[in-house]
Amino acid sequence: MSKVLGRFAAAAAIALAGMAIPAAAQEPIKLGAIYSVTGSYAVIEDPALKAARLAVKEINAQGGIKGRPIELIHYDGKSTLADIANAAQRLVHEDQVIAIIGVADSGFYLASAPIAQDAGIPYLDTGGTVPNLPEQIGEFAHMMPFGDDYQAFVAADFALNDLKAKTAFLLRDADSDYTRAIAMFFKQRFEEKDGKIVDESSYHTGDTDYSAHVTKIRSLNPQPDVIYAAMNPGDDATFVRQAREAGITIPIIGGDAFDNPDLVKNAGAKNTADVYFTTHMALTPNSGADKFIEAYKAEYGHPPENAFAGLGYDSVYLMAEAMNKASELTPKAINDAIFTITNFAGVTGNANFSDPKRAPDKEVTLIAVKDGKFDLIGNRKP
Amino acid sequence: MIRVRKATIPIALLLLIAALWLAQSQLNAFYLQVLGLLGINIMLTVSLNLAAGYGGMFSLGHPAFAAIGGYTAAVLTYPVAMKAFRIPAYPEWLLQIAVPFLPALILGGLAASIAAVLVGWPVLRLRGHYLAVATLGLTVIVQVSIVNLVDYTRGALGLSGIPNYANLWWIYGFVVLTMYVVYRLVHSRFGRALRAVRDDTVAAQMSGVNVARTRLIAFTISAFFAGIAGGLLGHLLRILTPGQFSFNAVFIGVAMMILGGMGSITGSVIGALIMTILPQFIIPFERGGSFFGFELPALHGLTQIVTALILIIVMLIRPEGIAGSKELTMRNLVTRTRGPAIRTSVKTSGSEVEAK
Amino acid sequence: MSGSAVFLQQLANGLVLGFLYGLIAIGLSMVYGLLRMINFAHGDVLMVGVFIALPVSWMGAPFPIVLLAGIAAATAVGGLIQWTVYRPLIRSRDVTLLVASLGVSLLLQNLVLMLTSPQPKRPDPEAFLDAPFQIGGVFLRNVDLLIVALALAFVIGTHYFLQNTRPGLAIRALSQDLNAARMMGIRVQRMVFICFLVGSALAGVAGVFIGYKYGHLTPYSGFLPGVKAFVAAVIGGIGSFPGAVVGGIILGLLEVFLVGYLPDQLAQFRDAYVFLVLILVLLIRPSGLFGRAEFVKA
Repeated sequence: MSKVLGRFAAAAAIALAGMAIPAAAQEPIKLGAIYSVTGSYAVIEDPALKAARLAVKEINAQGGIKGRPIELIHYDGKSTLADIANAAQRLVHEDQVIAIIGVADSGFYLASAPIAQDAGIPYLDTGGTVPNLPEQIGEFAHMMPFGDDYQAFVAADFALNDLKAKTAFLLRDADSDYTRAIAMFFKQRFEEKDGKIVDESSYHTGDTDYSAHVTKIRSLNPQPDVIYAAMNPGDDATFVRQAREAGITIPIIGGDAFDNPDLVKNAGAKNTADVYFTTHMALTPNSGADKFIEAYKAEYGHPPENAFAGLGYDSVYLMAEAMNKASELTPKAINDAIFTITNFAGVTGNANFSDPKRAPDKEVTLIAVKDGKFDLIGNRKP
Repeated sequence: MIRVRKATIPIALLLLIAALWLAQSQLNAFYLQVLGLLGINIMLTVSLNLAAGYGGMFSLGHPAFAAIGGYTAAVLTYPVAMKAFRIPAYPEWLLQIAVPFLPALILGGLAASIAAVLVGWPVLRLRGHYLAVATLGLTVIVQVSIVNLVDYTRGALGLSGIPNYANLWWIYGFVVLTMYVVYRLVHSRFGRALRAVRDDTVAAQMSGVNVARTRLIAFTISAFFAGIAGGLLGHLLRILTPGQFSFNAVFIGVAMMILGGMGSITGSVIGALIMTILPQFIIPFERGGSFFGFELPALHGLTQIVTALILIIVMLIRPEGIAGSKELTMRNLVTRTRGPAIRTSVKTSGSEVEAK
Repeated sequence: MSGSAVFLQQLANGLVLGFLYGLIAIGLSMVYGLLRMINFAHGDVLMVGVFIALPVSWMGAPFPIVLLAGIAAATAVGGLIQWTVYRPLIRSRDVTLLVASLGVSLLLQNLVLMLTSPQPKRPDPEAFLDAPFQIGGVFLRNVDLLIVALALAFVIGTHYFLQNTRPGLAIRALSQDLNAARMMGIRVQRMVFICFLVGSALAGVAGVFIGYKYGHLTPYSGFLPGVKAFVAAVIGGIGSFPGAVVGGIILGLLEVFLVGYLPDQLAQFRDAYVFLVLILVLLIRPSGLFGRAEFVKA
């Protein structure tokens, strides 16, 4: 069995080696990528992969890194744990990449990161947002996004200070760690500062009918001042639409999952009044990310689907910066170089990667939806 | 009772040991992990086959047993230093101990067995699809509980940081044990009673078989091995999440069993091979690029499509599965060369190796 | 909102959801009645149907046309699958059919994913469907009323078809005893085919409504409703036609009321309760609420 596998791998390797790359004079730098482009996580990881490919293309067009092009070796995680772990093993031991980027879920990251850690390969998490992932894995683990605590704290402060809210209703996806975490952090901060959570409700991944939750909110007397909706991408528009059409007009605050053009497209412009969310970057003109958005449009024919595109894009550029800074192109040197990047200017905000234990210190972007357009309120830190 | 050629089994075992030794010393971690997953899938399929193929209890609840066994074993072996703040809800004495691998696995298997008894007692009265749907309910209930009992399981995030104890020796040791126990069981007096219950409950009852007890025992043993497989899975991937034991796991398990053949241990191995190893050959083609001179675009989902087509085509060509209810034994190999003397009827499954 | 208004509103929410499940469950139940087959691809037929109808909506077609397109597409896909995959397997064991349907499900999901994208899609909104509608304190939208009205119409229509037409009679005869019916000269394959067409058409109706009501469709949108509809069919008594609808309504009400009236700490376990109820129903009345006691094919 293993012999057959080995032979096949050899054949695949020969086939890969035969791939014609324009800057063929120099051997390419192998950058691994694990994104689920099938299964339930494809909705967020597919845009991340597309943006990562775009970033690699841009870097190679400008001469690559130290004269060598980047080759992005991607495997589909299939939204399945075993496949993600297999992909990590394949990248580390078969393709022998010198760095890895990938996944937009903390569980997926925890399943694949120990493999890179054991092999001493730097592995940058694109979208999993448990704040202390690197601490849980080790020195070769890094995070691109801010942690769940950051964005939930900013959202809670915004509700208390800007919207003058005293009471809030919590809605969350009970099946997902990310939504549970931001709901928990929001509650923690909101109650710390004397706000009151009047009621909570949980839906389940795959639900599209929120009528029971909407009725629960309507039945509250008095009505809460805000709704904090800890939802996964795609669910946001469905809920906002059902809430607004049932006559709920109170402000709705969401997390980075809300950051997608489909929010307005699928919920309708008039229904998205008084909707706010925290995110990694403002997908609006004049926010500094517009160059990226234009390039993405030119490449794929439509704007980035959600904020994970920006994170995928930045993941490649962060690795590229680390490779440029590294004394030599080895995994260890690249890993050390990441810690020296204290002022990374990405499309998802400026970030400092020097803390070996936690998510980068990064500003949270706060957006208001106005007349169907995303309006930048500002960049904040908790 | 079983008169397989005396030398066959020792030779096969020696070959397996040599292969494992070679694999463990020569192959990189990627191949070891895939081979490990293969072994775990073989265990899961063989154990499901004991309940469904030989016992006629079409269970969709085996992922629940794997989950119970997996989480139990993982909580037991979990490093003490991390227990207190990652899974703080357990009683103090449990937080203070880290159990060695083997007893943890066995306790996991026992936990799954206990669950099987508790669930099987009322539910095994049901037949056919009613049993299938009731056991599917078990899978959902266990999964929902894992997600929500965060302080015991770490919820949807998954219990990560499980020690990586499960190497090929452990896994294939248990694969051999599972296959041996199931084979002996099925070809014993108990096995004949079990198949009699499957084929004709009333007739079995009339010949003095305690139907409820027979079914419950087979179901419990089956759950025991599923639980051990779950424990091995956690200690191979170093993480357990509720998503690993969802609808998807139910269907993959059933597909592996039916693909290979219900009521055949050989079939279980074939089914697990196809569903575990074959995708690994297709994956390199998914991301596109040039292969043997041809330019291919990225074909996301290719693995799933090929798997789906294999399922459909095998069902169309061989509705009884690749191996049917036959076994690959020396004796069958010999008979095959003489002519098509192997009986294929479900009701006589396994009888060809039961030479008295 | 007063307590009774909340109750009525939740009741309405549950009924609308229940009728959707019921529409999907009918096809599953009919097929099960004939072949003892759990068709796990049924929900995916729904999904393919509405995905084919989506471009029709995007080209500006009004709702009735989109609905017809969805029905036509789902019927065609369902018929095609029956003809190519299930038809040759009619004499096979039930598990063979089950695994074949799993294969079909996996194939449909991934083909649609490969041809489109993982991003959620929706039909162009229709002002008429989204317009609010109020009875007493109960708030609904026109689309909700239409779901109930059309579901009832289709259910009654299908009921009439089964009770008063020759193919309907044949189908009922088949579900009672396949072999006896065959001996009476009923063309089994043809009747099974008709069953698939009717069931798939109803799934197409449900699919288009799901598209308009929730505005959220992905290649995986059909799978979960398919599994839930199967649960509904079992609660109602699988093989029974009114049972499928009643089972759907029970499931819809159960899901809504558990969330509406339990504290969140307990409501999180919603799906566990649903399956617990299912298991209890099976233990007390293994043939479901409307099912007749039957000798189960081994």
